[in-house]
Amino acid sequence: MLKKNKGILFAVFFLFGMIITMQFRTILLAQQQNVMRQASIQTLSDELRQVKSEGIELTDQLRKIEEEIDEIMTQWRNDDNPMMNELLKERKQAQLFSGLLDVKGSGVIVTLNDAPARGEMDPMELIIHDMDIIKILNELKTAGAQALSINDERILATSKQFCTGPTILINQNRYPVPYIIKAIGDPEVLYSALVDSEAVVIMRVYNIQVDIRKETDIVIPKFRAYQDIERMISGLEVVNQ
Amino acid sequence: MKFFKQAALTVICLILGIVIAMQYRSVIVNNSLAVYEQQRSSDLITDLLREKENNEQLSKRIEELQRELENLRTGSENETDRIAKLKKEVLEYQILAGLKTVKGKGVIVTIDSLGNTPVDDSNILAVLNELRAADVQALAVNDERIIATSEVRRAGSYMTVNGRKLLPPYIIKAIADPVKLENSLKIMYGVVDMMKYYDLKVEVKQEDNIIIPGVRDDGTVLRHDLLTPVE
Repeated sequence: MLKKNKGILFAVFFLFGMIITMQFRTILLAQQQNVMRQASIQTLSDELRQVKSEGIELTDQLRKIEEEIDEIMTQWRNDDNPMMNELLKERKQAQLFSGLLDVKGSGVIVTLNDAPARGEMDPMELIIHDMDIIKILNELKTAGAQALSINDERILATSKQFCTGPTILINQNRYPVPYIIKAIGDPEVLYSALVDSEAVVIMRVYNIQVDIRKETDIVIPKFRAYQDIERMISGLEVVNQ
Repeated sequence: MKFFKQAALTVICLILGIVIAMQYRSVIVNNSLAVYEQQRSSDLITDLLREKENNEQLSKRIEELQRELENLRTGSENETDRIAKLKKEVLEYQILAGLKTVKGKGVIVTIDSLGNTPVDDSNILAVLNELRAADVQALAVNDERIIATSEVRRAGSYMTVNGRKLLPPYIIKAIADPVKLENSLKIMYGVVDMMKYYDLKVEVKQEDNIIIPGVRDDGTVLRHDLLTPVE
């Protein structure tokens, strides 16, 4: 009896000692890793912030140079050469058609925000997906929108809208919520097309916050070209018909 | 004595149980924290890489434009040069806007219903978005050019694009690097897989000479009467 007891006691203490050592080691290790990871996350987000602010500066710089070039070209006006004046007018017109001018007009502003978190719901059902955005844009296009932007990124024929986790990639930039969609067109038509649309009704069922406002004097900025326009159409050869 | 031994054993076993439970929980918490932080840092790295690339492109573009500005400032070019430059720019902008018929390499995607499920506008919108993600340069559905404001809308058994009625099969033409376009569509569980799952017939073909017509220029598609340029 005494021997058996001793045996059990030995086994129990043995286990006990092992577990305490393990526990101690995992905690130490986890703390180390935590400190390292936190440090690397900190460095990364600091660097990201810096790179982003550089980007804003560069965008401003680019805009200024584009304006200067534009300014010089407008001064090419020459009333002795009607062809020159005609071409300058055509250039403005073509810029307007291709989304390369800031434009102003009446329309609607749609603000989308993820649904407030609720414990039991799958988070995938609470966030806004690319298809939601694509469908809203499609409704606005059907209702005759003449210019569109998401978070001030001008929408061109080739603009993608891609969700990467809880953020969206539009043209070349990534944005978190809220998503602000601006559309210039007939405010009444745009508003009524959107408010009863399937896309908006479904989003509201999921508690995604959809705010639609009619506005005058909406400004939609031009497409921010990060490269020569030539490179955006490099694979296209014009066919004369 | 016997009582003391039993009591000691009970206490020890109790402590052992508590320690095991704690250990178990701390491992789980650590793991989920690690997964979350790993995700966060890989997101940060992707963001950082993209922003850096954007900045590089911006710097390059600024350099290019600065050179152009220098040239313009010296004003050395004559009237003929100026006119040539303007003509080139006008053409580029018109191509970008979708006003010109263009030709190039790319893919042709054919989508049709196999039976009960009709093709939905969301199918076509998803394909277009996927092609855009692969840096497409020109798009058309049944030869209706897709411009910035083109809608794709199902109305019963047909589709409207640019206000025009289109019947199935829907043939989407896209010009850009054909391999990149096809890969982006055929990625596992991507749009093609999804449509096949919903019982649609999908075919992706690479082509060398795809012709995409310009948008019809009768003022019904490319409208701008409600837009005022901001000076």
